[in-house]
Amino acid sequence: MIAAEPHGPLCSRFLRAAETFSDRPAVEAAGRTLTYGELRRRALAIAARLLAEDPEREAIPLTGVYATRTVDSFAAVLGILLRGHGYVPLNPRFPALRNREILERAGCRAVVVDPDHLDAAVEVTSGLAKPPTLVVPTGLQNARDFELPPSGPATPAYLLFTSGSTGRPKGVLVRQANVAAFLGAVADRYDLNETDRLSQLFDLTFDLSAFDMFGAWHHGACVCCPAAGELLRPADFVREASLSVWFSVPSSAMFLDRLGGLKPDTFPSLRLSLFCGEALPAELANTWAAAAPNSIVENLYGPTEATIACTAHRWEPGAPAGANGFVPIGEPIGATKAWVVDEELHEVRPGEVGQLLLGGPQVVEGYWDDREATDRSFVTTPAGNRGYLTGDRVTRPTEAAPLEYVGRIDGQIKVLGHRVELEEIESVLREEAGAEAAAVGWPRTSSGAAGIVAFIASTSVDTVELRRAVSARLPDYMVPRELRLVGELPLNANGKRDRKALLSILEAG
Amino acid sequence: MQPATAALVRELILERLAEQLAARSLTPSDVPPEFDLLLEGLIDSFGVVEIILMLEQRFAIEFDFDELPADDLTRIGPLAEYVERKSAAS
Repeated sequence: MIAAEPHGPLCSRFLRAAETFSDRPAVEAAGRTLTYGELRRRALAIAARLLAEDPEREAIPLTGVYATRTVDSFAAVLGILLRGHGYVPLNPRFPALRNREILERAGCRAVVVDPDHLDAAVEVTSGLAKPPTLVVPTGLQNARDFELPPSGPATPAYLLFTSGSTGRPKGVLVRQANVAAFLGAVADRYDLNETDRLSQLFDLTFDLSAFDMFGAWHHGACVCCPAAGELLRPADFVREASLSVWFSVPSSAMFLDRLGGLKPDTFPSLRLSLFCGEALPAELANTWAAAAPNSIVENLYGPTEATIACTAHRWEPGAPAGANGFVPIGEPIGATKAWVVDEELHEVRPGEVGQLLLGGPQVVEGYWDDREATDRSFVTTPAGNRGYLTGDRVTRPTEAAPLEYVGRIDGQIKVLGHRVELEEIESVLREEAGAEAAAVGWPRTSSGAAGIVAFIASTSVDTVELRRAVSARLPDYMVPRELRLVGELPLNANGKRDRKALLSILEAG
Repeated sequence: MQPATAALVRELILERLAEQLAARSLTPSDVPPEFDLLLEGLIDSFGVVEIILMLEQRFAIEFDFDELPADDLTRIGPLAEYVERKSAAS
């Protein structure tokens, strides 16, 4: 007897699909394919190994996974869920210090490690006061005669860390019920089925990866990861993988366009093209629609705190763009509620700009082990609506019009879809340079994604050393493209940092 | 603005990847010109994009991908030489 009931929704849907579609492909990566039957066997074997390593019921039901996008890492994710834990993704491309901080904050007692990354994982964990057990899933026996621990809707699905404005990443614990609510909404909207083949372009540390995996595995579909470099030849990847569903950040599509990869009719196999993670320029959506003539094009929106995506807008090519030339972010999906509120949390009138407040079953309870940040962002309105304040400024031009993204209320920017708090970079720069520092977002242009430039109030700091120190603490996408030394940082009339003046220094070259 | 020389571009890229190189016990001087950043697993496709955007911004150039074969895009020697040529022409 392997499958004890009850299971959380992510586990039970996968196990059901694995039974129905046992011989169909579930995941393809780096030239390897696992069928549903094989993926289930591997995942169960990993779950059994994890249980054997640590038979006690942990107070904190979380297990790390240190891997890149390989078929084994997907099996590890499922194995952790079947063991009744949420997965905590670590990223081999992150600096060791970042991964160590994630593990420390999550309190994982075990980490599933890809054998290729064992040395690096040892380095990450050896610095911890209580190093977790490293579990390398090789030589696994088929799991027999063990009972999976029960799991349920409240069991964690994953714990992710996102950039934090206080200089400390914020943890977001997403439960199986949150993901199930999202999957229910997209199942209705997109009619995913066992013939679908979904792109998988995201590291596990990026929550959009959860859509591809669980979206596919709930319906018997296949997730397809491009091999190294294949993304730079997107037409080949889409054709060779016979993709039917594309899901990426707009920056990827923009870059493919620059590579000459978005000529009309390039992607005839696609039936669904979904973009999420940052604002989608209408012009790019039009170009994509011509390149994928048989595909619906949708713009999704949603912070990690509201589980992957929670609003969507179907784009009609050539339709008028919303604010700033972007495709609208549309309407809430599933049971999500969206309100546009002013500073007192009262709803604003159509045509006015306010902050987007999200409620419903996809919204998490709060930040992991951070009461202060939770109280700031998870609020109850005077009208009695409980929700997550996104920090995104939005508007609904008329009562019947879709929501449009206008901008941010703070210093958060998106770099290739990744959420970046400039204050977090500044706090690291300050510590490492021993001088005041300001990070500014280099605006997105037609030729490329936004980036970061930092200014240091010093004339003597060694920028090569400083870059090295910052790279050892921040993920690559948060490391400023350029470090500039300035005598002092300009302040505006209110005595605050003047980012506009800094930007004009950049524009002057 | 500093003019782009292939040596400077190479230094900038490797400086950016110092952590990843160290994790593989490589020093910048071990990296030959034909070293492919992508195939060697130092970066993924997103990393390629990020490095190109960094170089474009730093040297105020715009890559023309018709001029640069896809294989050269991720090899450090040809990439650095391309940036030097492009920067001299702009």
